[in-house]
Amino acid sequence: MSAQPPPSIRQLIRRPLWALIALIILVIATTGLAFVHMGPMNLVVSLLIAGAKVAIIVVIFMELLKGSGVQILAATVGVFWLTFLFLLAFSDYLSR
Amino acid sequence: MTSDALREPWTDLGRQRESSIFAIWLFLGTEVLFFGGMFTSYAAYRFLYPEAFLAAGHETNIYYGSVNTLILLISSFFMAAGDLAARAGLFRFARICFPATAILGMMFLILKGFEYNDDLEKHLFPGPGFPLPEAGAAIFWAFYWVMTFIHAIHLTIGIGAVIRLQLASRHDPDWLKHSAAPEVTALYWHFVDVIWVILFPLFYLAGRS
Repeated sequence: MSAQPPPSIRQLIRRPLWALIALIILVIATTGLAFVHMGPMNLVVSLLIAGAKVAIIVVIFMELLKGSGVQILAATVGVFWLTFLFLLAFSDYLSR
Repeated sequence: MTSDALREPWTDLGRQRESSIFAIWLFLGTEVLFFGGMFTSYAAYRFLYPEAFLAAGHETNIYYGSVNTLILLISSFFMAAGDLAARAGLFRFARICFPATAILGMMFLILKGFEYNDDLEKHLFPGPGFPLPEAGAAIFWAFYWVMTFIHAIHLTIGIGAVIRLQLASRHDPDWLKHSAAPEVTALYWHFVDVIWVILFPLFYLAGRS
């Protein structure tokens, strides 16, 4: 434990800090774009930006890709079933 | 020194950590489905009442919404930094990051309280006196109240968990390194952040243009 010197705080926070800067830029972008009239594309753009933010949080802050196989599997299962929920619900609504 | 962090039935800290992190990811999977049901209902009603949802979305307060989004993202940064510092043995820095995370979480809740107060003053609560005439606008606001309130409950639990890290490491900062608690707490905190990141465009950005 003591054989390895701990990393400096600067080294430690570099990745999360870049992630935070990217997230703040995305919040400003999505808020600004919401006031631009794009019709139905407003929703698409705001959800795509939200997806990018979620990806940054999950990969950098939650370090999912550095986790073991079972952790990645457990994390994917929820999204997998959620996809079924959406597909089945909307196969009904969209075909009425 | 490690006995405080090691719990039954594990015989070593590595396995305990692996199991704890697997368990929190499983729990977060169930949370995805819990919130997912509400997101699916929101999507279905937005599909049925597109105009009413845009008109209702225009009435939410985008200033509170966007400032709170930034607060939550900054809190997630401190949580991530605190967790990394705890694992690296930089306990003093970790014990600065945890209170910062909790304070930002509380700031979010305080602003949310002011926002709820503003919403109530405008009678934006489904029921008698609801000001928006469009059919379906009350459904949007029902989703708004239920989902943001459930999110706030999750955040309150998160604040408790972060404060617990600070208290539990008070006499023995080494505990932060051996226990999986900082990492598990951080995963939960980031997940609550993820939920807000999805709620933000659905409630605050709809109907702005």
